[in-house]
Amino acid sequence: MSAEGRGRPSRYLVPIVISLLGLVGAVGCGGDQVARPLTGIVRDDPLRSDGITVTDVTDTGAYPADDDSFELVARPGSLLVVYFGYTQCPDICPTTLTEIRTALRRLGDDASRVDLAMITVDPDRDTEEILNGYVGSFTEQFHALRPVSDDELRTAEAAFLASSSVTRLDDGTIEVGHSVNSYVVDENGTVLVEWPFQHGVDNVTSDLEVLLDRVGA
Amino acid sequence: MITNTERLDKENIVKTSVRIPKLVAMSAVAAVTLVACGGDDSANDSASDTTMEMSSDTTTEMSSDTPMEMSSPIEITGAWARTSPMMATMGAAYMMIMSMDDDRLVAAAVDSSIADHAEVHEVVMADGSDMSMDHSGMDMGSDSSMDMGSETTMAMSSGEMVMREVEGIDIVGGEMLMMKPGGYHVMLIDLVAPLEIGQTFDVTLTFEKAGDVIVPVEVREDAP
Repeated sequence: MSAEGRGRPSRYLVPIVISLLGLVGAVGCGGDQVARPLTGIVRDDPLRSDGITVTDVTDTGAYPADDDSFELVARPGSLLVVYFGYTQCPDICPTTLTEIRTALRRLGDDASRVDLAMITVDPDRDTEEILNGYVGSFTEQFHALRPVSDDELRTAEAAFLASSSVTRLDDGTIEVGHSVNSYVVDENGTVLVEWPFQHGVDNVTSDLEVLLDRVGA
Repeated sequence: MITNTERLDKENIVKTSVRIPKLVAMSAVAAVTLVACGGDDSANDSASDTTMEMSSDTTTEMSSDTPMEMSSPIEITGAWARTSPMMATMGAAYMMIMSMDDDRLVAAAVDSSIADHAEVHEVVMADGSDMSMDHSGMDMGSDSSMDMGSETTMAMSSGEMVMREVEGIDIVGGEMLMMKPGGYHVMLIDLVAPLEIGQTFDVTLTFEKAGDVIVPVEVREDAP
């Protein structure tokens, strides 16, 4: 919630700079192997999530529960999509996760190389059972991650420059604020691209295709 | 903006002819006519504006000075709700609302067979601003303010959003109110069962002047 900054105008400048860079990039890009540029946010100095672990409460057979903590990196030759959300979120989270689910369907067989990790920012209410049912609605290849401490959540968020807050209002309502980007991580924990809210199924699909090609064996 | 009229034509249109006084208006809701034309309108574009202006001459005609005797139809189009994930206790319904006169949406209700109750909510940036950032063609480049390690820029980097109940939404006569992901929605609280594709249920919207309007809502994976 420390969104006030330091009075810098970066909030408004950044999108403009981004747009301009995007234009330049669109002209200057295009390597030999990757025909399409990525559509999401790509940083020159990428975020990293290797070494960051979150308590894994996934109860499917897909990921044996021999280790109850999960390092936020992809399987070799695969991609890991990381999202911070909560299950009592009727709008932002389902919108984002539905986009990802639709993109995964479009990938067909290649979707087997994409896993989804959702880290709940509301671990008190998102029990193991609830979180599993929820995340599992979007893909079978998921990690239901439920931080056991505030420190664990904040450390994970910091790696992605994400943030969240859970506030109990006077009327008893619990208000959850959370950053809404999703992130694509490779096996080394490098964040290859991040998608803002409502990035679009076409863009998400395209980025996953490009990145699967890049990390593919 | 130019597709406004087309949208109305293409979408399923719920029209109610409502007359003052309010009690009469409430009962007039029963006279809901449904014009089904189908359509593939995309309500999911990421434009941040929640209203779309009609042409100015239309707006003039629909000023709030319109005599009370005249009918003041409210048209609600493209109503849909997203399929709810397993274990989800909350759902959201979206729609486009067009009123000839200025009005105010003050409440939403849903049958108890669907959810415990409904509220009108909106999603806003946690700092109070709306979420109007153009995300097209992004390349973060080397802008140092986005680098790790600067605590104060953390929240800024991806923007924290929060969902809040609103007491009401003012509706400007002749302007389309868009309820869509990332903006306004009817929140369905404590779903009785997961919302599944193909299902249709009614949401009752209460307007200050027009009274209750029953809106059939189609459950879909994505915006129509």
